[in-house]
Amino acid sequence: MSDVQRGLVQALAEGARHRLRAGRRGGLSWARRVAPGPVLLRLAVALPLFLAAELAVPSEWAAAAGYIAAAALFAAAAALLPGGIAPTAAILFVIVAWLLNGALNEGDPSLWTAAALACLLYTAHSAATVTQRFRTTTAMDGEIMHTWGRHLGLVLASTVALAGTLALFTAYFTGLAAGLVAAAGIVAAVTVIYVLARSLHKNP
Amino acid sequence: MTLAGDPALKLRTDNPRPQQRAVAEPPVTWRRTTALTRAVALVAVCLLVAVVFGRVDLVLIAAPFAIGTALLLQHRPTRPPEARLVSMDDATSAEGATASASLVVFNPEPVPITAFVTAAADPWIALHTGKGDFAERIGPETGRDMVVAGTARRWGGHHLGPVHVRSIACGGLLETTVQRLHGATVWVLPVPDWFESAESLPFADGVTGVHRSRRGGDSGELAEVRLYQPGDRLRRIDWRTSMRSQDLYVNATLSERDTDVTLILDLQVEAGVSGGVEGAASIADLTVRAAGAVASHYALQGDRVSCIEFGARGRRMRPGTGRRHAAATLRWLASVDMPPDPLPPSPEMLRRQLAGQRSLNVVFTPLLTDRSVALIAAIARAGRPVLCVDTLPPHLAPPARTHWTPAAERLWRLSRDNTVMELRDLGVAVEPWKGSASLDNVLAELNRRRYR
Repeated sequence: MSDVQRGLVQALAEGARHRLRAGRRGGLSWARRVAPGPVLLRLAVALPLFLAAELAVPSEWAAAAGYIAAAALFAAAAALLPGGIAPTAAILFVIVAWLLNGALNEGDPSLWTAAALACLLYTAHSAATVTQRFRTTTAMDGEIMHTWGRHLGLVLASTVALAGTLALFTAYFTGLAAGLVAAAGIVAAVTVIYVLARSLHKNP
Repeated sequence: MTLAGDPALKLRTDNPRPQQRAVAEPPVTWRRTTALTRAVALVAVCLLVAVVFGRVDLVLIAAPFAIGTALLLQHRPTRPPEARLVSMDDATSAEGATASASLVVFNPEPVPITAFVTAAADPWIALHTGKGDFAERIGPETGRDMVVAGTARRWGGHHLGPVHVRSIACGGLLETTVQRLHGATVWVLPVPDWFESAESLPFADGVTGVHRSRRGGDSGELAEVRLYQPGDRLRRIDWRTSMRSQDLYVNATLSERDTDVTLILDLQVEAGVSGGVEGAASIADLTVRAAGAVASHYALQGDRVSCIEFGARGRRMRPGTGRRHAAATLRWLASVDMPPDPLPPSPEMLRRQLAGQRSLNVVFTPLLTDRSVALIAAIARAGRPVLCVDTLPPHLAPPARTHWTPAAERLWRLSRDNTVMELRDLGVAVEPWKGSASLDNVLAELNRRRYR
């Protein structure tokens, strides 16, 4: 039997065997070259997103298998593809879940839960920002992680301080919340317009 | 038929290369990333929903995104960093050693950036972990040297590149477009097998060296004891013989001279799959490494060594001696290339290139073509000393395609053994390459034939 007369089944079996061998070789090569920095950053994307998704809904929802699967899927997609749309989709999933929880359940949502959500979401966002171009085998300078950690600490501390301030003010002045929201919205809208204009400008 | 309508004129030339316009590399510029768009969009959406539904918690969720983005965008770079490869003239390394290329990235801005470097390489260069895909932080207004390196697994000219450099600033909110550096060619020298030969070579005909020649001269190699003649040195007088015979006798010695060694590399056919320096050897591997070993040994010993390709390219390495020439020969051997569809070389043209009648010709051949057999036979019939090193790897066998394959292979091997025997009948010493001292037996045989 020559090469030309080789049967289809035999050819397919040999092809599958070759692919399996190549896959095993590739996997071993990846395991040998994998770098700790990008893997840790990807964990810092997936874990906070999953925790935020679990924190955003009441415990009955959080224990549902479908919800857990969806949250895990979004978190895993964001960790595996941090440079694409996946982190945005995962963050929006958490925010929508939080809004639905607020709309369907009675009572005001806790400010401290919102602060925790904000910290978790920003941790995932900033980790995805740093690692968006890196592969899992990219050897990272230690200084990159150090700078990221410092920045994250500063922002999270500011968020907690803001949450404390808001909690203090809303505790003493109950009518302040609506006015505060409107003022913050106007200030933030102006800030966003300013940032967009500066970033899109060629020579800022 | 008119000349313009001649279909022969419309045929494509050999080796057609489509006309391509030279594509200029686009300039490197800073641009925003998806992360910046995400942060701004999230802040906008959260605040919009907060204002519409009166939810203060959404302001809090948007707050770190707004604060973090504002903090990161405080200092932004405007000029892109400059990356360039550091040119290394005649960069060489050895098989199994590290082949590397250096690049410098300079950051002209007063803002720290991160340079993300990814490199590709020839399949024969296994990039080291962390040396082909890495990210380094570069301080404000400074440059940084970086090295792309890998293990060279086989001799030859290997390309290290292209190298892609992308810079990231503001914690990943801004990035540059990719700067593509074309890379560098690294020459990997073959690591020759260890070869040591204690045998003298026939036809020692130079000025001074280590091989016994047929001419008289001062050395330790005794030729005869003869009667004293005017002009003989007194210290050559053999006093014992002179006392016994009552006449003056002197010890005549043969001079020791160097010789020409011409290495002929049969590069017509490649067979076998090369596994690199640690794997199985193909014909080209065995030929190059064996030729490197023999050339290094004789060049360091003081003989004049030259090389000639018996293949499509027909290159020639000038004769020379010494350590520097041995290194140059290895560099010449690293450039050996076997085109897939070569023009057959002419044995007659190669015979005209051989140096002199008295040089030793070593032919490295797998004895797979009639032309190489004809060349060896022609050299032997011309009375030149010729040594044939069989470079067919012992493990090499045709792929089993039918149940006739083993029988056909056996017949082919019998026919090849017949060819080898015919060559031996012509006075050609044929020996498979086995590394150290593998040629001593055949060299001794050549010497015996010479001094018979």
